[in-house]
Amino acid sequence: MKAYTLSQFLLRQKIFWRTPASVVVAFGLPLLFGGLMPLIMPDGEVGGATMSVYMVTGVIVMVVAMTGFLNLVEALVSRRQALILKRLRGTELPDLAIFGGEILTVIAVGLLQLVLLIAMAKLLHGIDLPADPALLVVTLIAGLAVFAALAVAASGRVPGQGTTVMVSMPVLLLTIGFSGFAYPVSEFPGWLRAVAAVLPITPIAQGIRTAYVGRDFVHQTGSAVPPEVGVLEGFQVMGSGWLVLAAWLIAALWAGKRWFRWEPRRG
Amino acid sequence: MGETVIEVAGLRKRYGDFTAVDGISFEVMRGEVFALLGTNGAGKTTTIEILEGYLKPSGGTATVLGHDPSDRRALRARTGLVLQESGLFGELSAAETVNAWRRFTSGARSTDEALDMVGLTDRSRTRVKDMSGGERRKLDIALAVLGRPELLFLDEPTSGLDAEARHRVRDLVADLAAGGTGVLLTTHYLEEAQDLAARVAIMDKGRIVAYGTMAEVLGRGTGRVGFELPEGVRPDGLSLGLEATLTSQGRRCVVVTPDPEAVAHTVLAWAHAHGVKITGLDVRQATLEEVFLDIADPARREARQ
Repeated sequence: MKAYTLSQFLLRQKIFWRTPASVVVAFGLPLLFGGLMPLIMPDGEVGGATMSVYMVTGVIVMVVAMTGFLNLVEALVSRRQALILKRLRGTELPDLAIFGGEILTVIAVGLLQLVLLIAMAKLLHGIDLPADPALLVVTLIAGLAVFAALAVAASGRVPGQGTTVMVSMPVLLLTIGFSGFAYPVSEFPGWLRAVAAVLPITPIAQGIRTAYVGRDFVHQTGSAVPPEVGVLEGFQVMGSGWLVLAAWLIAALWAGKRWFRWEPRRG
Repeated sequence: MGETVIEVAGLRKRYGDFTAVDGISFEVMRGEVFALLGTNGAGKTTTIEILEGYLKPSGGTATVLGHDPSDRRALRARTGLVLQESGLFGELSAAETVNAWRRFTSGARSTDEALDMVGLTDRSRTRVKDMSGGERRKLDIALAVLGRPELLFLDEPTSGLDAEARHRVRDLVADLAAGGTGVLLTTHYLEEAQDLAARVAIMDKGRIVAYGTMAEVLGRGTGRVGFELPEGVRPDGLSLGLEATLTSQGRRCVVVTPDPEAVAHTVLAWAHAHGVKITGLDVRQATLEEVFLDIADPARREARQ
């Protein structure tokens, strides 16, 4: 099983780097956002972090949604419609290895994006390296896994390649809205914070920001500067955030089992 | 006969009200090429996709190499398949595709050998998206035989191939069968089935309407006796029995019969007795194409002659 997954991962990697569109979307947009946004934003602080840090962590959150969800939905739908998934199922590859290869690719690309963004933040904007790299990586991988599972499920509801926007647009908008990229979630009205609390993007954004800055952005209210947290404390303050992510992962896997399709949807 | 690699009994597949496969039974032996023929919508692809494990049957039983067809884990390493339509990664070259497939194929042939078998050696560095439909088909066949399968499913493997490529695939399939591989083949090229298949099943509207060795199917199907009468002479009083049908168009007469030799004797005896001079006599077995058309659409038999 491991060998099958690895072979599928290597195959996917090769395809990824061979497809200019996927490379540009995966690296061009985050680098553009991560590179330019902090430069054009006014100086200042947002709830205990400089505006630039806020932007860079926001871009990392977007990367999770884009790489984990948007790119994967597109890849799965296009391969399904082109009968490539059906052909792969005619080989020895077990179904789980086919998914495994996809998910490993998502994680590999996501980690590479993370490294590039951190390097750019440091070199271009003089932002300090992440305070809690372990929490950063764990949150990133957990977020990618949740979004990848959602992508597997959602791809089954998308009729064809031209209509992936149907599911990718709402996800992208929710991500921008609730990642804190556009507006700090901590300053949302109460009812909206309650909505935010059950969305998967919220714990991902909180975890990434907490890990990057080393302050507790999970329990932040208003624009107060949150207290500093240590490495292990960071994992602890996430608390129910992990449960939210786990619940979404389970729901997505269940939906994926019901909805995912190996063969083209016609019409 | 040898060991069976496929056993199908009373197999059914329904989609709502539509019955795609309506209780068919047949067997395929190790080392045998078995052809499944039929018009579009006859149920060939549904049948082969049930046996490949893509579709679940609605009824009946199917056994592939002793397993349920849905037992992909047990079967995939021992079977190879070419789907009627399938996709490969356009960004990879032919050799890269085979290399990628070799990583998850047990007992795989070398990339050079696989490409050579289908005549793609000189296209090994060409990306799939730059290949012709026929070349992609050949690559698909190379992938299907990569793991030296015991059983090969070929759903119209030569559609879209030119004559030379068809011959190559035909030779390849014959070689594999000679080496012990069982082959279940569907094809629209009837001479191909005639050349390759030892046994055949003809499907129409989800049922098997003819099944047996090529000789049996050709024998049971109708032979042809053709001849020409002199101007103005009608074949009156020519008694050919119940199973033969005579049609005439101008001077040319054609008799469709299960026993062409006997009919030829009767025709000659009639001509002799009536002092009629017959020309252009031809006596032959029906080709598979004629049998196929007769079964698929009996009304066309008359129209054709």
